[in-house]
Amino acid sequence: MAIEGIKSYYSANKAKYTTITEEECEVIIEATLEIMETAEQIIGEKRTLEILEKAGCPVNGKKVTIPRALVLKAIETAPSSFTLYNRNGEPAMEIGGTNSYFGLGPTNPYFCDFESEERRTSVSDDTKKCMIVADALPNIDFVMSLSGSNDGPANNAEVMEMKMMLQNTTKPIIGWGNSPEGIAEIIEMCGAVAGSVEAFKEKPFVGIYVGDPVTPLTHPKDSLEKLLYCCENNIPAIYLSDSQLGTLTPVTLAGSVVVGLAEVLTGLVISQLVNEGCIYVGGVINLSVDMKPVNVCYGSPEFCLGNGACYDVLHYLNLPIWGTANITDSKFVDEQAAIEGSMTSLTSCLNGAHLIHDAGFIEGAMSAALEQIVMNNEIISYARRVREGMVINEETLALDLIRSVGAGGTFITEMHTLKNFRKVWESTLFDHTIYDPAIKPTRMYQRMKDRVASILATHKPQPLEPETIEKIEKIYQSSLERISKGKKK
Amino acid sequence: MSKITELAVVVEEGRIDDVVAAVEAALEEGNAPMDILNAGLIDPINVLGEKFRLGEVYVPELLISSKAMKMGVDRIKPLLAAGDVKVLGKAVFCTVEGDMHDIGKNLVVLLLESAGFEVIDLGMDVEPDDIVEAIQENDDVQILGMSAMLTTTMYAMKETIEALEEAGLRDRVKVLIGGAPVNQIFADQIGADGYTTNAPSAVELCKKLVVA
Repeated sequence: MAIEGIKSYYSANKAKYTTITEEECEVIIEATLEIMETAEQIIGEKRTLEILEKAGCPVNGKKVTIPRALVLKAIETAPSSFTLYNRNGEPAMEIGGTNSYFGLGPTNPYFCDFESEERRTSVSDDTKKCMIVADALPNIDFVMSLSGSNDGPANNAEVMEMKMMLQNTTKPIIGWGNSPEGIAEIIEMCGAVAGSVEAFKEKPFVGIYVGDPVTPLTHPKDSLEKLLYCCENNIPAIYLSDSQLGTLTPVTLAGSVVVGLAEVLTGLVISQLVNEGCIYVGGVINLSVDMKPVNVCYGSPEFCLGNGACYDVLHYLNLPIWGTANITDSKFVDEQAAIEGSMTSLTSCLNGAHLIHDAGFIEGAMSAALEQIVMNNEIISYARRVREGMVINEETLALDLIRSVGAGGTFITEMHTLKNFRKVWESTLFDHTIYDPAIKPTRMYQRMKDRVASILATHKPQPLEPETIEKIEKIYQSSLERISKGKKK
Repeated sequence: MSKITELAVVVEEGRIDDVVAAVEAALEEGNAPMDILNAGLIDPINVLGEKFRLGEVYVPELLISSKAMKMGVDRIKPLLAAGDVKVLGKAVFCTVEGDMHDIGKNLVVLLLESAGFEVIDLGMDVEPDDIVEAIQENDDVQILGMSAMLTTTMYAMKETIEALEEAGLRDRVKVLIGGAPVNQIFADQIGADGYTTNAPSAVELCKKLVVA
């Protein structure tokens, strides 16, 4: 054991591609533990502070340091894998090992309108359409709401979004919350779908993205309240750190990764102190910063590298991993979006991140587009085929066949070809045709639009029972009452 | 090279470890404190500002030089007469209630201070009433700058503007907003006087607002 008290799962979880070596993981882990033990972090929530103090963390006002032993224990007690089910209670995703699943991004304020292609405020109907498109696409494994519900009150937008998601896809869902009250209503909705809240918790098809630390080293009240709520109620919780090179974290990747991991492992410690053995998924986004205007960049080689290093470290620690890919800073579903999506999809899936979110996002998570979901689906499919690799055995070497077809022959009429040619990756969007003056070639963007239009016209996600829909609607109505009461106060 | 020119180079290069010694060297050479201030400390920042506009210099370079300038000004301040350091304007800045994301706000404050503004920084997660109180207590404040990073907190800006109206203070200050989810349309909706997308343009806007 290279780190006293931590077993390495680096080889056990070894992905097709790793960003850093096992020894480098150990350097990063040691550095992270050192920072947690020697640099104070702000804990903005009173009960969390008490929990940490009781567990032996030195407390100084709102600031704490976290002893190494607590981190090691949390790493040991947190589950390394779990199953997320679909809405029908069937296993859909085995989170763990090097399994990689891709999903949409969460709520955002704007949407690129499919008809007009104009940027406008997002509404709940956008979430519905995103669900229909994601439900139809084979490489979108789980969903998030992608667009915010700005047609309703902001204080319970997450409940509206969950309502739209539950009704328009059977795929596993990652929701979010304004507050523990909102999450409670979401879970009540899930209970309505599963038959009871207990039945839902037995086979969860929804996890909750509880929020972010405020990097560097600050854990705000609202994120912690939601984290505590999810842990105490056995709802899979996701906590995601945003490192920004040179503004919120050191400009050098190694230091940036350490800050992000320190925050994520702090969330882990809290989760295990609150409810030992509860499911906790951590992740770090490493954003480079364009220092001319000081804007963050979702697309960059550093994004791939920093995130990859975190995936390797979390594999080493055998913990569930929240990943990020497919997002672009571009205002359009364009060449930049394609490049950024390709690089991040390929590296995150080769690197074996578990739940890789943010498909569908454009404009650095401020907007989204249906065409982007379709393009990301294609990119993911491509990346997955690369990750699958190639098989080398007697059958695939086909030496007898090479001899029998011989010089100048053709393989196209051979049984071996017939048996295997469909295994070769096939695009659903690319144009491989030879130029024909009689046919006007189309751009890929047009083909993506056609695909969206066809999905929206023909794809009907499996509906919920009318009485379930009624129950969900009732929960939403009481949620509206809750927030209108809150306002009157 | 005169010691003032050397100081200007130190500031332009952002050499914060050397700036105090460079100011002292310029004083020893017999230069008037006002000349040191203008030619040794403020001029190089103006030069950098121009280079920034041309895209030759990036924000970290601008900030570190501003920090060097501030250190130099602190050294020379006791030697200046009261009215010598010109204050361009006075502003109150904060992130709004519920919002703990302050990097953008901090950047604007730093750049504003180096541009010659006096800034009262109320910090993060500041309730409308506390903002109103700060403006009440400082009747020479011309600008209120508010920032929000989340769609869930941006509406606190609206509430703050309403609180200013209730307190009868709305006309006394120009309200400037910023942050990832807000834009000009939102600024217009809530009745803010200005919005910009980044810190350097926020400084330009503040300059315009205090002149207007």
